[in-house]
Amino acid sequence: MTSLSFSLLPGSLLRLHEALVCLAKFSDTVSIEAEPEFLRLSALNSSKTAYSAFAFDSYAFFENYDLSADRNAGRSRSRGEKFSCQVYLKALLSVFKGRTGGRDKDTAVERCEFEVHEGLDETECRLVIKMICGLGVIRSYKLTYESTAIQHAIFDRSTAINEWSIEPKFLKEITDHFSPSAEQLDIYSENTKVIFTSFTAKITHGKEVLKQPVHTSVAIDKADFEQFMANDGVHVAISLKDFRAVIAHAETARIMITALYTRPCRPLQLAYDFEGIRTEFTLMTTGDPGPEDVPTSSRPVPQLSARQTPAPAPTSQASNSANSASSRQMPPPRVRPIRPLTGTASRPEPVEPSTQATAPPTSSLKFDSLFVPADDDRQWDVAEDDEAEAEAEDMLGWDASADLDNPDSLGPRLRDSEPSFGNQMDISHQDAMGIPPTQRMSQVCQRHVAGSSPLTHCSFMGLDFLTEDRFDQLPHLDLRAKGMRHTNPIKTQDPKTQLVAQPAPTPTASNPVSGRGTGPHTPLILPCASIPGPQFPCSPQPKATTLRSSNRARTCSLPTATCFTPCK
Amino acid sequence: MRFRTEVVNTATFTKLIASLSSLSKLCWMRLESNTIRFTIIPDQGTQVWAQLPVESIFEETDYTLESNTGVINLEVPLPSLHRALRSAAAAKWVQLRLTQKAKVPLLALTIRAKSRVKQGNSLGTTSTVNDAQGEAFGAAPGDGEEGAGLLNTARERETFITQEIPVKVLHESAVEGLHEPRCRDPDVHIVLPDLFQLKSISERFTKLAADSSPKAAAAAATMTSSNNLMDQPLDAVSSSGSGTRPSGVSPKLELSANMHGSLRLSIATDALKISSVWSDLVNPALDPSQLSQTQIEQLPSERMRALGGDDEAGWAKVRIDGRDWARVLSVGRMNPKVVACFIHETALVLYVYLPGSFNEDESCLTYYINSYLT
Repeated sequence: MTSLSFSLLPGSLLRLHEALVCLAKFSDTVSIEAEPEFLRLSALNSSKTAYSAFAFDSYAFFENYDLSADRNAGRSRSRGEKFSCQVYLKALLSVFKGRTGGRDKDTAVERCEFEVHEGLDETECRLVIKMICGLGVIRSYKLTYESTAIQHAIFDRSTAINEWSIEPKFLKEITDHFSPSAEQLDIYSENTKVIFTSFTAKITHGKEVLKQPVHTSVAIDKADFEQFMANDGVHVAISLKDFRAVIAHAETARIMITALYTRPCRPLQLAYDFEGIRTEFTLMTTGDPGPEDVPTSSRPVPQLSARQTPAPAPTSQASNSANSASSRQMPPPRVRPIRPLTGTASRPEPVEPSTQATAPPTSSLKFDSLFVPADDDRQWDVAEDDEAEAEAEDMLGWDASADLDNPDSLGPRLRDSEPSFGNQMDISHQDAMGIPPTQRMSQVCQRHVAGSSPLTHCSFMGLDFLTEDRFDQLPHLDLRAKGMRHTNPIKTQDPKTQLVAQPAPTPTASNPVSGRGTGPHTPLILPCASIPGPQFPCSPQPKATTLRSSNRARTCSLPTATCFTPCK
Repeated sequence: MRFRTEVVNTATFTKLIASLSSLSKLCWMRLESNTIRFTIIPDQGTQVWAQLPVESIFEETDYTLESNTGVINLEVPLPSLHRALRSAAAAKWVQLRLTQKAKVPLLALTIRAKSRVKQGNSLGTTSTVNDAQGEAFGAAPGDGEEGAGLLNTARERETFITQEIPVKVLHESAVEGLHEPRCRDPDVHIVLPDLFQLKSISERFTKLAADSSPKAAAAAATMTSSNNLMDQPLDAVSSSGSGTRPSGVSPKLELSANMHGSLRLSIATDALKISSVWSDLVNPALDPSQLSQTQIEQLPSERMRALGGDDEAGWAKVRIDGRDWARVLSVGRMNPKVVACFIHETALVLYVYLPGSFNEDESCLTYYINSYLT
């Protein structure tokens, strides 16, 4: 049993409160994870389109932080102690009620102690919070908690090709112009301007026309940004409510917000670090579902790639990247310099088509958007190989930090899957997902690369499957519809090169259509096999083999840092 | 059909729309070559017929209006327009134009706002000053307390805001049947006192009447209209909580005036009877150029004038809804001159003349308020 206790001074307590207030805008419950280095609070909204996480550094933020394993010390030491649970946010917030008032100076909180009572000998497992106030007043709260597998959104920063940083007050200024009822926010840049547009995808008829929400767009100079490295014409749309929640919190911290994203229908991450707190908000972006919902088309595969890259381009790109990946293993050129791997040692893997394919073509109304003309012909373009790879970059996946309750169970899984490179695994995987074995070899191989210890939240292969298993119980539709993928990308160095190579050129192509919001929230992709083999610019097989070996070799050396834990 | 103009008098426009939007959600906006008309015809309550010369809010030289009939009739959602205009508060340049997106006609309001940003070396010192301050600051470079280096990094930010308000284009046939109410000549015309004062007193009276005896009021409501029978339990519930009642049984203010400069505002319930009287107000003279002397002499207002100031018969009286009246008086934010025309026991017509450099005769808001019987 792990025991956790920590204490906070008033300043930190205020920050904690602010974080909880912010989290409350995303979900009813907060997930608490304690690790030796940090305490993380995270929340995933019910539609699974927005994830927010605050990681508080155990040394810098807390006055006192103690996480220890009473038993099995040896094992835990090596694996890292860990405690996680979920708490109802309203209950937790009520603890702070009246605390911030400062009306009673005498009985102001001087110290706050959190303690988890968990153990076999405990009659009640509770999260105990003690507010030690002046004049010897102590307020104690006992909250129930729930042990659950905690899901994290996965965001690979290193593949994000668009990045900007700005002070939150500018963003606040922008959102102030928006109607309170506006639901979505589209962001794109054009020449020297960055344009934020609020809109609500709502169908109205006749008289209702006048009740349609006002569309507001605000254009600000790129110079207002601390840095702006995003491709022009790339529209990403996120929920305005989430965006406001982030800004509101960032304003309290007065810290520069950094946004990272690749392209529509991929997650966008807003992040900032301050005072020993690392915050990350991963928001699913929508692109534009044109009038004809792409998922319903028989060959949706091309959609994303077609939008992202002009039709002729992908072939060469794909093969180039494949070459570079397989033969040279050199990082291909990027549009912008490779950023330091901010905590992300590995990257998602282009395997997703199979899982995507399982998702029925649902798209929620909410994501209807305005930015793609009805006559977007390009989505009918032929699928290109790079589609699959491009597909995989920085998708929002899940990382059920699976080692909580039964870490050992994971080991075997991992090892089981490792030997089964190639088709075998592929099939098994796809069986699980209930679709025909139509995955490409290259993808499969890459997928098997990373056997990592569950300790790292990295969604390496074992975890990958584990989460998928878990997710089988969840309504697939739901996840799909909201555009989140629950598959965990696997990261290897090789795929990195591929992945990076492809996304980079595509947005710069500045295809008028490509920039627009793309299609339904989730790219619903048919199995690759639906595309005749020859269409792939590079033969999957050779690539697969080369990759496999390299990948495997690399596996051991991959840092097991919690690359995919958003806050680490 | 084209309409495009620059809004030069944003403040007036915003205030006008704000005043109108308190009365109704929808407004008929009629754009003509020289004038703009705003008309509100709610199902119940006060009608507003406003007419402004183009130059009072728009840039005359940049006023483009093209249409088969020479006019454009729009149905505009006032709250949206009002909200959109609030973005223009500190704007340098505002343009209004009619456009369409996906077959939905829109009034697009494009706003260019400027502000000055000082960019210090560290993030913490970065700050924005608003435009006015920014200019003042910029006007005196070098002698400020700021270092020259800091001034050099000061930068003008420019923000473009586009607000797209969905509107409905009305065909001429849809509006040709609409015309201003016709009333007989007023019995009394008088310039109203300061609207803010009038408004606060009116609201106070209304609140007192509403609070004084909900039961009596409910009983009164029963007598007034049998339709309200069903609502009574509801009324009781709502009034028990806040002391206010649904607008259906809102207290009626009694407003009366004579031709000797007096205005009386009163309210009476079973429990109380209060009134305020203003005196020494102006009864404006009618324009002799439009009416001959004999015509003027035959007007009811002249007959009322003939009666003495202390004669009760010389008072013209109307009964109006307290809440509606408060909404009407919200036009006071434009600081206008208001002439109230009383038609005894029939209606109250307010002529609201906007202040400003433009010709006051042409910019007039006319409010038609029906008098209640009880």
